[in-house]
Amino acid sequence: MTLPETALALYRNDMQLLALLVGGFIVVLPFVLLLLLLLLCAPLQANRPMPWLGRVGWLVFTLQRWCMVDVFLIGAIVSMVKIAMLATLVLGLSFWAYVGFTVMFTLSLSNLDRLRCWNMIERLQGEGG
Amino acid sequence: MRKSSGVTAAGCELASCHLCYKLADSSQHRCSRCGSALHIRNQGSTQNTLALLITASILYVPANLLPIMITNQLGGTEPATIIGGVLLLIKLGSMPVAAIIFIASVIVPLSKLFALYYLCWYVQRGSAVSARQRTVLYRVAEFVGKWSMVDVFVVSILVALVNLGGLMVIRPGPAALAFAGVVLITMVAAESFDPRLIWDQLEERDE
Repeated sequence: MTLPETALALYRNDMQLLALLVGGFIVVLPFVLLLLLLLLCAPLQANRPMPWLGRVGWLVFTLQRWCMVDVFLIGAIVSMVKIAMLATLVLGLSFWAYVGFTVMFTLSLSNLDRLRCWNMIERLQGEGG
Repeated sequence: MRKSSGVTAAGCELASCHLCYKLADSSQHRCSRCGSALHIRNQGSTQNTLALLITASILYVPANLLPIMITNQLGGTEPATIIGGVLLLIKLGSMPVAAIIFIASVIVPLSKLFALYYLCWYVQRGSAVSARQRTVLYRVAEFVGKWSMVDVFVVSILVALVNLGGLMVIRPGPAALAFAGVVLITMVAAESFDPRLIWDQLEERDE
């Protein structure tokens, strides 16, 4: 079983809306947020004004609270305990990758200082324009 | 007992951006820094929050009465509700997991609903007793929001994982969607509530 398959399984069971929600929250959103974070932090770190900074910053801070990777990890562990009563379960390599991703991603999001970010964006944009 | 210094941004006709915290003249409609909509206080905040809360409360009924997960095992069909799943886990002897599910899908959504109802009622009624406690209540309600999604994720993982042909198949029940609705709508409700209304009560009392 892979990550996108959770959403696909719901889709096959006639739960299109729920599949959309689950897929959005655990596959699409973290990926998009990760890209946006890179787009935001790399120019800030390099002190390079980029035209998209304001818009990307707005997206990052709006989407941030809808990111549910950490919740999904707990859900995965709970369902493993449930399954372990019925059958033997072999953890795939991807599980550990996901654990690492979740921990690092949560840490990087909580490290983001909103006020400092925006002050830097404002300064860079002032220089650029 | 005057806690505030007496000068507030709202008192100076300044509005703080809810997204990037920049202060701007309240006659502007968009934040000059990040482009978010700008209001001194979110407009109709309490009304919107109340409407969303009522929607979530209505959805909470089917979320608990209908089955969240249907297990087809050797010809027999076994629907399970949220509470049923918790009871089953206790019977099977895994208390910690049962506790996680119980807290995430019963205690958290219920206490969140009641906390937000209470805050709306309090802001409308207007009394400034222990604004600090109310702030803590709001912070907790906002933080805890997404964690109720655990049960929905568990169901979707089990549905994908357990498919042993005719032996055993797990299917999602209608309550899963209703419950996801409850969680998401209360999250939007918490977001639309303006905590600054709690602190305004302090100012009004001082005057």
